Amino acid sequence: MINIDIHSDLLVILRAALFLLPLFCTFYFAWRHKSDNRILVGSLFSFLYSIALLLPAHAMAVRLGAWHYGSETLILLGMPVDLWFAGSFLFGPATFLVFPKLNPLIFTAIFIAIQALFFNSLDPLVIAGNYWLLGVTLIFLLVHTPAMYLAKWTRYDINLPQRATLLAIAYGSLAFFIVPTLIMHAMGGSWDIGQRSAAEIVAVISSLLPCIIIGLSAVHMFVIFGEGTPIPLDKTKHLVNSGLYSYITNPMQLCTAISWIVIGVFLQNFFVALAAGMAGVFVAGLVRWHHRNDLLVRFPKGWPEYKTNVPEWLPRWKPWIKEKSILYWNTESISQSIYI
Amino acid sequence: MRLGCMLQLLFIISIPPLSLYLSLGFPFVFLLVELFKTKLPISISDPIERMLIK
Repeated sequence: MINIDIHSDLLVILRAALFLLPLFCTFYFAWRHKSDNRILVGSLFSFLYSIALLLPAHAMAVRLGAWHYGSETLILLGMPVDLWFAGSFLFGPATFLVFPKLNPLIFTAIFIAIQALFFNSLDPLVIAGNYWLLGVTLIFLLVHTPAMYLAKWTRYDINLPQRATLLAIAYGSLAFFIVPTLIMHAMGGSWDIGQRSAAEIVAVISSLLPCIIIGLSAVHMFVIFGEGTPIPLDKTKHLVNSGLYSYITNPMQLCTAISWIVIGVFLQNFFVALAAGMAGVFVAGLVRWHHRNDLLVRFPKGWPEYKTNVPEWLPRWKPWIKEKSILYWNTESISQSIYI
Repeated sequence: MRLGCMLQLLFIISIPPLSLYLSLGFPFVFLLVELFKTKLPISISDPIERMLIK
């Protein structure tokens, strides 16, 4: 390990550079790759995954005493916000766009080695605590390496189930951790889960579980029947109108809205619960815009018919099935005969 | 939609005390653009769109 005594003024410049250089690299190399849509979508996904997972990972590391930051400005859950964005740009789109063919495992090894060498020199920007090297390694393995893989897989349009899984993890973290955290930072409130009783925690998990299962099932439908991801930038090849989608058009948005209400009630925070209204605004704004400009254009016959028969928010009692389906059963099977 | 997002980002960067609130209110930009495109009469929305984009 190298322990250089860096002047505090230089650390200020270093902190600014850590944010501005990856930002500049991302925009410059995105412009250079402007004709390659898949590489741009891949880099955007790597950023979204990083931004969703980096803050909770660092908050956990700070809480466990792996390290802490010396700065007191722009702090969110113990992490400077500029470094949150810097890390998300640097170890995601910036590295991917500069070295699109780099193996994510080699990237991980190189950056862990660099951090291991210089981490102690960054005091007072970041002050190492117990097991900081383990913390750095875990953050790379859980946040940055999957982000690089996500970018690479999206670029080459391969490993769809793994891509959808990583996007679902990122969405879950963004919707149910980052958004409530930002709302509470702006309007007041905190994640004081330690003060809640075990019964309250069990109740909130039991209430969230159906929403999580429905949300994941919706993602599953996109992968299996649509051969794509729920994110319109990495769109499905077919119109998904079966399974959950034969009952309701927006199962993921509905689950998100209900989850925000549940989390708001659990945290006794009115503003977090109010975010459910924002899900409505999001559907009325961006989702309908996407429906009109993408789904209606790609599926001019199937989409309007589906839209007329399946509601947006209130699920149907019976699924809407366009073509008559026939159910066959094995008359010799005892287990099947009980349903007849 | 792109223009709306760019304007909102510009506001977020240029008004730091309100940046968090403006970021949280991002979905309203989408709603505003959607209402502009679908609810406003074409005789009003078309000239505005042409003036802003073309």
